[in-house]
Amino acid sequence: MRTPPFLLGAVLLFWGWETGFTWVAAFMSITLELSRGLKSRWEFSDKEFIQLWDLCVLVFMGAGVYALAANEGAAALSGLFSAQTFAERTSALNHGSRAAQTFIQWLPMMFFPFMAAQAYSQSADVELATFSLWLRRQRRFALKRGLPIMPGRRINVSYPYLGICLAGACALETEARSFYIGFAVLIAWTLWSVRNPRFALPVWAGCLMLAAALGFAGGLGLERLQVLLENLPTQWMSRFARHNASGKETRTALGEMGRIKLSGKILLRLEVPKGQSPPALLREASYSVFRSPVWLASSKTFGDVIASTNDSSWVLLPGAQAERSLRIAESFSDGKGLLALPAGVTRIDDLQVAQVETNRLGVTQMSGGPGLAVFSAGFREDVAMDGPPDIEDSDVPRTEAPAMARIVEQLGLSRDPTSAASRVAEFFQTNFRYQLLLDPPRSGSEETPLGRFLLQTRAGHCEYFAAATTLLLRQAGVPARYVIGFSVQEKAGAGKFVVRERHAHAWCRYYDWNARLWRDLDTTPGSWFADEARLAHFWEPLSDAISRVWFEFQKLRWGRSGLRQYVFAGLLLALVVAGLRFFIGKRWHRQAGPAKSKPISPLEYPGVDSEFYLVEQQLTARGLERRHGETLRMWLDRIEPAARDQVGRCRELLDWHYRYRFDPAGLTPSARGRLAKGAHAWLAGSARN
Amino acid sequence: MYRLLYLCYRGLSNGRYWVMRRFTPAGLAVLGAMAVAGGIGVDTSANVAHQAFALLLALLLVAIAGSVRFRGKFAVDRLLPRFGTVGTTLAYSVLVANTGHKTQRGLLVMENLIDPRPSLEEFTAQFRAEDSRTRSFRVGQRMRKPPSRMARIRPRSLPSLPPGSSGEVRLECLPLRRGLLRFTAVTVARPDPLGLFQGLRNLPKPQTVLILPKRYALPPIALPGVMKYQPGGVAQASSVGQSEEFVSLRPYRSGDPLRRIHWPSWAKAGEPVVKEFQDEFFVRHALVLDTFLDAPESDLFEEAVSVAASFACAIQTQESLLDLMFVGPQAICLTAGRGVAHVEQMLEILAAARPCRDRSFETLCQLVLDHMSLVSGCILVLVRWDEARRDLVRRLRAMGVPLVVLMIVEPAAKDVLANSDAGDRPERFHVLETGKIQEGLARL
Repeated sequence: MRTPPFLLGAVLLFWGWETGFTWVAAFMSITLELSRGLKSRWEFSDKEFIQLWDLCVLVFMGAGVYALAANEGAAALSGLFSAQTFAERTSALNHGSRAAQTFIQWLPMMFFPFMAAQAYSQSADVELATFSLWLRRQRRFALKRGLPIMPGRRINVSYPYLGICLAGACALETEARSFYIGFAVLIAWTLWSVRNPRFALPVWAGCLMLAAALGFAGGLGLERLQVLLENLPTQWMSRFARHNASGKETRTALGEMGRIKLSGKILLRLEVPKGQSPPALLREASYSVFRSPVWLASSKTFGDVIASTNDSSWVLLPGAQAERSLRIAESFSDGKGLLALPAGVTRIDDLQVAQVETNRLGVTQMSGGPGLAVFSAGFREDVAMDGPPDIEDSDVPRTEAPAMARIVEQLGLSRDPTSAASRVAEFFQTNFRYQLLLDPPRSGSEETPLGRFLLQTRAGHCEYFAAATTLLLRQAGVPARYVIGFSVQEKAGAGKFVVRERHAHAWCRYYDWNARLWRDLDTTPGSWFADEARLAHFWEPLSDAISRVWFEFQKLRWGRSGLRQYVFAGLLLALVVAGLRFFIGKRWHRQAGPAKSKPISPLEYPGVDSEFYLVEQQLTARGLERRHGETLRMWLDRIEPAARDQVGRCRELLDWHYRYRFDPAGLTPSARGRLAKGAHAWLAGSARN
Repeated sequence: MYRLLYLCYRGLSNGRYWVMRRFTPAGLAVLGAMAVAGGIGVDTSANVAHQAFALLLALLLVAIAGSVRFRGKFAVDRLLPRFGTVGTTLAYSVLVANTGHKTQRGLLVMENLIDPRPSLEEFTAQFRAEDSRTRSFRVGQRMRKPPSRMARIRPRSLPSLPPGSSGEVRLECLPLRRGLLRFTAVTVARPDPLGLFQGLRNLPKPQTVLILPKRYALPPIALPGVMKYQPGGVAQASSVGQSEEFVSLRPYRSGDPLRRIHWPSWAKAGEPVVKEFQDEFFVRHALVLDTFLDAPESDLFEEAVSVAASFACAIQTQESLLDLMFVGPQAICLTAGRGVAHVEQMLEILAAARPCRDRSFETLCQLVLDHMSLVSGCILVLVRWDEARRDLVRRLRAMGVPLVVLMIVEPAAKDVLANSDAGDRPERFHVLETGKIQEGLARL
């Protein structure tokens, strides 16, 4: 069934207006509607429809990939599964839905060539097998075996295309209520042709208005419902978070039970110049306040790094000359996040972002950047951009103080940072071991997880060591901070290193009064590398290979070479060429002549133009229909009781009609005139009644 | 487990039936669009699809409300033929009279057929049969079933009916399965003002049509066998006492039927004289249909019945007799030809044939062997090639009965059969693959 005139054009214009593709929509709309007026048609065979459909599907898939890539959809999809906090999951969902929405908005453009081909083709519909690989395969099979091929079902794609256009117009974020009005009008237009003629127009219009009002209220209700649902506590949706550093707080696994497992997913790729070694630790965030099991940053405000020599260089420590350098590749969602940097970083180069900020704890974050940042960091050992210590850097929570005091006393720690640090390091190296399996906390006891770690179990993972070291130094009078980041330990070729999620690490940073410098102190036993490495899955090489391919693709995508644009422009060009070949190539012959072939009348017999048939039509319209196999005379006899005077006047006409229809000699011109005149007179009389 | 599956099946098929019957094509499109809009618009803050969803839902609700009050008085009559054939459109008329006081316009006529769904027992048997056969997860290897629907009848619109008048609607019924097609009622449907949802009015009108099995065109075939003496003699011939071959007169012997007495000769000779006739020899064939299958529904069985029906029609019963033998609820042997019974009766019997699941193949064996002394040749339509069937074929060959064996197999089983032992097979052993029966028969 074909859509009513101008409906499809109007729907396309509506879609264009909503999505912003106004000119494209206008072109498509005019093209489709012109087909109604044009008499000439293209010769499209079923095979060519199939080729065109395949082309559309190719565009469909290409656009799907592009929509995913352009909106970080693929990353969002994988992020959805690896997300550990509600915020991450919501963000992943948002990205995914944005990609899907963009894609849905493009659908009318993707399938336009096919719709246009049908509109301008000689046949009003397309074989169903065009859309089904399965049916096509069956047909090929039948052809091969010489079996008879039954003609398949055919469909007109106008209405499905109309649905696609309306879906495209829906997938849009807008506050305006104009969408609803436009949509309702178009739906009313679409439903006009299927209304039941039994009911008067006002009834139909009333029903439609009622539905529109109900729909409007329903839409508002749905919006309210979503707000209500979103405000319900969402804690249960948020799983235990491991690597969820936000720069403001980090939740540790202190006091948790069970085995901590981190994946082997590659997070960072590092490259160091020849002859240089990489830094052992890369800091992501520092924290100063401990509220077991959470470490908090006292200073939540970040300050801009102003000293920028150009768009991509950021000087963090003006005046300090970098001694070593490191190239880091790191992925960011939303183009913002904390940078994993070596201690003593002085400047960052090749980082094209809108903003780089630091805070007094020495944390660096960027925003307005690409999804993958590949930048150079210059650093030297004897400087630090951390702010001077304040009172929070010496704070030991009251609950932890007894255990700390006991150990400090046992070790005889003094305020001298160097000796205190070395004694604490020695204490942990000799008495403690690394363990990923966490013991269940003892119920009912007052002891804290840290106290238990220090005094009883003497085994734990890096968070225990880092937190205990920090608090022990503080107890001894040395300002210290808790730092999280990554340990660089896995080589991936000459001068190349990879950092996996399981290399996430925590350590302590203490203030050296004498040198006026913050120094790193990692007291976790060295065996943790091996322990963590044992967690590697056997499929890790495979996932690394996939990660490598993805990384290369990301590099291509976020690269500044413009290669991405060239690739997509090339693809577009290829599509245009393929399309042109399709429409202008020699295989298409334009056929002159009337588009709609004259309907073949099955009534090619003498007397087919008799006016009596008009009389019959008129009576049928009044509900006095002739039955199958009933002769005209039998019919008049049957309906005479229902319409006596009208049938009475018909009988003479019927005699003339029979003569005209069946007499081999036919009617004389004058008799023929009488039949015509009589029938028209009857019709006129009938209309008056 | 099967009970749960059956409940799900019933629930889903009920829902589908309701939706397909109540919604107009436009209503179905709106329903589908609503589902799509609901999917896109899950997050109301992300896009405006939820507004479209709400509007479409409201349209459907208004349509449903608008279809509630449908009152009208109608009388219906259905002019049905006696027989139909699977796969061949059957056109018939339904007369609807408006017996109310208002003109009725914009109505549709629909047919109500009896619920074709299997009972729990049949459903379970079907699943068990499929499970026992399925060795692979490939969809193509699963047992193919005939559609559960008996027929497809599209609704037609009714001309407007002034009070007291009647209108005729030509409906086209496409029978999908053989057997008794039972109509229960005619439904007059009135779409709501928007044309999305229909109010229905059921007018009971139970009627039946016998749907005969699908038949294939057979090439001219020379059936094996020789003429055999038929003890029934002319009693089984088309016209009793009229067309017999008179041979001679002879004196009466006790036991001769009275109607054979030649009264004029008795009058002349003074003693009873009877007419003597030539004994009757006919060609008589047995058509044996194997009904022993586990599954209550399968394409295999349908094709076997179709092949049997094709033979029943093709054999020239003017010249010969044909015995149709199969085991249904009871062992059936129907003889047709030379006026004894007509092909139509044979097709009627075949239209009602069901797989036999409660007896063994031995029942059919006995039936066939008991009749073999009379028949000149035998056509076996088999659905399996196991030891019991082989044994029957061996015994028939030992009796010297000329045989044609038609083996109906599923496409997947064809290779298995080809690799099996060919020693027991008679000379005329034809394998017909379901879905390609016509080609197979053309090669006979």
